[in-house]
Order: sequence, then structure tokens, then C-alpha cells
Amino acid sequence: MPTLSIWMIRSALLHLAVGWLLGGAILWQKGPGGWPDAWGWLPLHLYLSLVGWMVQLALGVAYWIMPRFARRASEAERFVQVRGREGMAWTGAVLLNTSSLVALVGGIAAASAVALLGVIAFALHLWARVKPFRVEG
Amino acid sequence: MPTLARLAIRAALLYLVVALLLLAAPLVGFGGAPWLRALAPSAVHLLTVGWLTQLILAVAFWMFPKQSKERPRGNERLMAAALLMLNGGLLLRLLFEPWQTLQPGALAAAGIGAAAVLQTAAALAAAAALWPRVRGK
Repeated sequence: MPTLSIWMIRSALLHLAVGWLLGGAILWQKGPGGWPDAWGWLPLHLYLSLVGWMVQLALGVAYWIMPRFARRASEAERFVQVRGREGMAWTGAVLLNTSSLVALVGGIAAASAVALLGVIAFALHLWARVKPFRVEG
Repeated sequence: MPTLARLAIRAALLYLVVALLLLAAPLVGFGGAPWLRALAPSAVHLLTVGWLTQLILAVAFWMFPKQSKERPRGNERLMAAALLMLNGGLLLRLLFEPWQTLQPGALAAAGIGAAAVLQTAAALAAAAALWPRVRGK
């Protein structure tokens, strides 16, 4: 598993844990109750669970699994497998995770805007890798 | 495919069917039914928790890099516990959440409390089980 995927999937697992902690606290209010302010966490629970966990996990695995390109420095060198525009992928991952912090302090709309930039960057990385194996793009 | 993954993926498919049945029910005349409206939050969680997250966790348990030669899939008991709690919590939620909405009472409140605890614990357990397998070669 490449380094970026490790970071993204671990971050996704943390988002799962925190997102569902918030969700559990909110659901508790429907039952035993005792902390009505927990309802204020609902937008953050949704954001962390959907964007921080699911979207990020999908992108992290996609970065790992999607077809790669074969490149070599010269005719005498062996081919190595590369992942193309990796800077875009890293940028996307940083923006996606930053959006979770924005969600905490700035609201879901602002967080979504940051996430949108991140997803566009990641898509710019991933687009060319949506190809059959062994066809070089 | 390991047995645990098979069971979880089959369960996820069942949740998908039930969730979509509930969401499509208004088309066949149940739109105004109080019990259906009361089921709405549960239906959403059948989709996001029972189908999506369970499918993700099952495939991750199957496909992620091996943890070690002795324990290729890591702490399998912890993962099994996570999936049991996820399903148990979700089924409790499906039963008691609409019940509490339509006829609030101590039993339904306790059931929702149990559902909240189980689902939260499931997320923490799943994250702990998968974390060591998020690694390079």
C-alpha cells in the first residue's frame, strides 16, 4: 500500500471513530437523553461520516488500486510502475482532511467548498488512471 | 473469501434491499403512514451503516494487506465483534427508534440507548481491527 493511501485510510478510520462517537451521542438523545446540546453535532456527524470516512476511504483505496503507468528513464532501464500526477493526489488529500477541521469551526458549507477543491485535485490525478491495465496513457 | 466477510456482505445486501423498499414505500401508497415516517431515520442508517459501511468493512477485512504470517487478517475476533455490534445496534435501532417516536416509553428509550452504545463501539472496534493492516508491504 503506498504512503498516501496509508495516510488517507488511517485518517478515514479516525473519521469513522469520531463521526460515529458523535452519532452515538445524538442517538442517545432519542432514548435515555440528558444532553440535548448533542443535537448540535448532527451536521458534523454527517460530514465526518460521509466525507471524512466514506469519500476519503474510497479515494485512498483508489489511489492504491487503480491502474498505474509503466515508465523508464531510458531504453536500457527496466520499466517501473508510477502513479502519474501524484502531487495532485497529495493536494487533494490535504484539502479533504483540512475540510474536516473547517467543518468543526466554519460550518458545513465552507467545509464542502474546501472538500470540493480537494476532490477536483484528486480527480485530476485519478482521471488518467481510469484505463485498462497495460495500456499506457 | 473468508466466512466473516461472506456473512457481512450478504447481510449488507439484505440491508440494501430493505432500505430501498422502505424508501420506495411511498410510491405504493404508504407515503402518509405514521409508521413509515417514523422509520425514515432508520432507513437512512440501514443504507449508510448496514449496506455501505458494512460492505466497506467486510471487503477491507478480506482485501487489506496481511498483518503477519501468523495472523494474516489480524485480530479476527475483534473484527467479528465489531460486525456483530454493528448489526446488533442497527437492528435494535430499527426496532426501537420508530417505537420511541410513535409511543415513547422506558423500554424503547433503553433500546435506543443500547443501539447507540453498540454502534459506537462497533466503529471503534472496526477501526482498531483494521488499523494494523493499513500498511505498506
